[in-house]
Amino acid sequence: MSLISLQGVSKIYDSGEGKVAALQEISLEIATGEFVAVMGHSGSGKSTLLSILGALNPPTTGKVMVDGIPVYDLSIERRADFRSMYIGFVFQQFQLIPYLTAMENVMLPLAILKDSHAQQAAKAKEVLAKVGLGNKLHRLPNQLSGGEQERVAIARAIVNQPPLVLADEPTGALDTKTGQEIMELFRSLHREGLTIVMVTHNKDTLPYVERTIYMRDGRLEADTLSAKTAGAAH
Amino acid sequence: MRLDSIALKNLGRRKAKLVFLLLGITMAIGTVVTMYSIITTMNVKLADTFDEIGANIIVVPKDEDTFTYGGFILPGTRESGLKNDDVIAINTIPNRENIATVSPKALGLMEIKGQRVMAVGVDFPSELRLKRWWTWIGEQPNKMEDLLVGSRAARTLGLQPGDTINVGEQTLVVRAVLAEQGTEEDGLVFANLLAVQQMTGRVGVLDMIEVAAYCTTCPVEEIARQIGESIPAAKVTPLAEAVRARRDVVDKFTSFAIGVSAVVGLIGFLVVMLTMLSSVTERTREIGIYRAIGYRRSHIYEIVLTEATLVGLLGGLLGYAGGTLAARLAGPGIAGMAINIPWNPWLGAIVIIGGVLVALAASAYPSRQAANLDPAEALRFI
Repeated sequence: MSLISLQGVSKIYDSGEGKVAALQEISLEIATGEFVAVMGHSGSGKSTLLSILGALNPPTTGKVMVDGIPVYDLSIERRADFRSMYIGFVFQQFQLIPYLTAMENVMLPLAILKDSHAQQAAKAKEVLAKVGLGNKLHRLPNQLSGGEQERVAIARAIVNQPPLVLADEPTGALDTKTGQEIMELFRSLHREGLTIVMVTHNKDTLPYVERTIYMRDGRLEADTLSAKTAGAAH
Repeated sequence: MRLDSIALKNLGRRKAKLVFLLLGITMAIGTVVTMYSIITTMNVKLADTFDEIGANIIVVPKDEDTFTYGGFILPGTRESGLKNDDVIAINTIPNRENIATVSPKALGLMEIKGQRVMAVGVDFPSELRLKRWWTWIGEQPNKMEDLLVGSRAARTLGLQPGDTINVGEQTLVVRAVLAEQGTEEDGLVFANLLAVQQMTGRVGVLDMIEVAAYCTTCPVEEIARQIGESIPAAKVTPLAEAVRARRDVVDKFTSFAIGVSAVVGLIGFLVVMLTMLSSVTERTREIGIYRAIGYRRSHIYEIVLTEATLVGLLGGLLGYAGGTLAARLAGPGIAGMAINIPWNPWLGAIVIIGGVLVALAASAYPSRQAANLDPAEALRFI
């Protein structure tokens, strides 16, 4: 069953020197529970695609459905509610709030819900333990390594238990070994049933995903299943 | 974690900005409090001082047969004049605490060196308190036999301080000659009240009473009405001119205070607005993250306006405390008079609420900017 459905999605920016097509007629389906990598060179449109999937950036044309909801038919405030319920973001460069501790950063998505402080704290502790930071709850981001900050960012993305996690270059700021650890973490989350769409240009991450979408100049160039997934499909 | 915790922690993290923000609002509110405290206290003091100088109420007998003295209408028949006890009656009206000075007067014609001059019997301490602008050559008159002679009368009669005069059976001494006033007082001779009453054979009878009343807490018309009730035989006239002059002086100070407060308040408003705007600009990415993880615009408003409220509260409190302390310390020096500025809890409540409102108003535009940030743009997806 498709969790995400894009039909003829285009995004055209007015750059001041003329119109630039960041995405052109993209149509794709992503099923519930898939782990998808979106690859492509800089400027290929992969980050724009991610922001459109994340209900942050309305397409110029086309339809975006997530769990059967026409995302861009929602009002701006309802779209914020949608993001709160459906989407967990892992941003480039972690994007943690520097003056909040690891636990407080993870509690941020819960601050706008009706959970009590105790419930929020319990959930935050649980996910931080899950990502291996149960002993660093009260550290500020600058007291954590890059890998640890990435784990906090992942914990923040999953604390609401959204069905979909969107990750933008999650290993981009990490060394190879830490990058592998983070990909292992994503794999274990995926095995729990989470749908993950990850933008990357790091080919080392591909063994962890089920499906890779290649983009070039705003178009889908290729859409491939990993050997293991393809084997399983056959 | 609640939205106000985010606001509080953000303020705590940006200490330099917080200090700058607090300084702006504290100085604005502090200056307003200092100005207000000094000027309101000074206004009362000034108004009271103004009220003490010169009469603002004239009491004369209800008598249609009148003549003019010093520009005022005086009774001609003078048999049913005012009594000495009426001075006590004035000092026992309901608003007696508003009575600053009561100066009774008896009039009579006195023959000096073969010439008839108008003598005004006064209680010298009261009269001199009322006529603070008077200056004289000689000693201050105070005794029963003392005379204070107007400058023209002294010239006409050839009198000098120290001269002795026999009037009827009394021997009087010219204690001082009044400096030229340019009024009818220059042609008068001021003597002790009882001496004039004895000389005219009207002991205990008064022709006029001049009253200086403090009009800050009670209008002069009301005090005049109370005196009229207390002395039914008297015609009591409030002097509109004196009241108007006093009000003009007080109004000028009040306008000055309002003007300075408005300018300083505007500066404080701009400081808060610019600081909050720069804070929002610095936090573009952070706000983008909040929006991306599902915060509504109203949540962003709440965070920014909570910060403004906290700053307004703290700034209002510090401004009130600092402003009142500054007024207490510097007030007497600035006002050039001994003023006592009390802690005013009502003023405190008003300026703290005012501080919050100013901070909120100054943050309205920055919070709107923050709430309307495009998250995709803020996170550089575009």
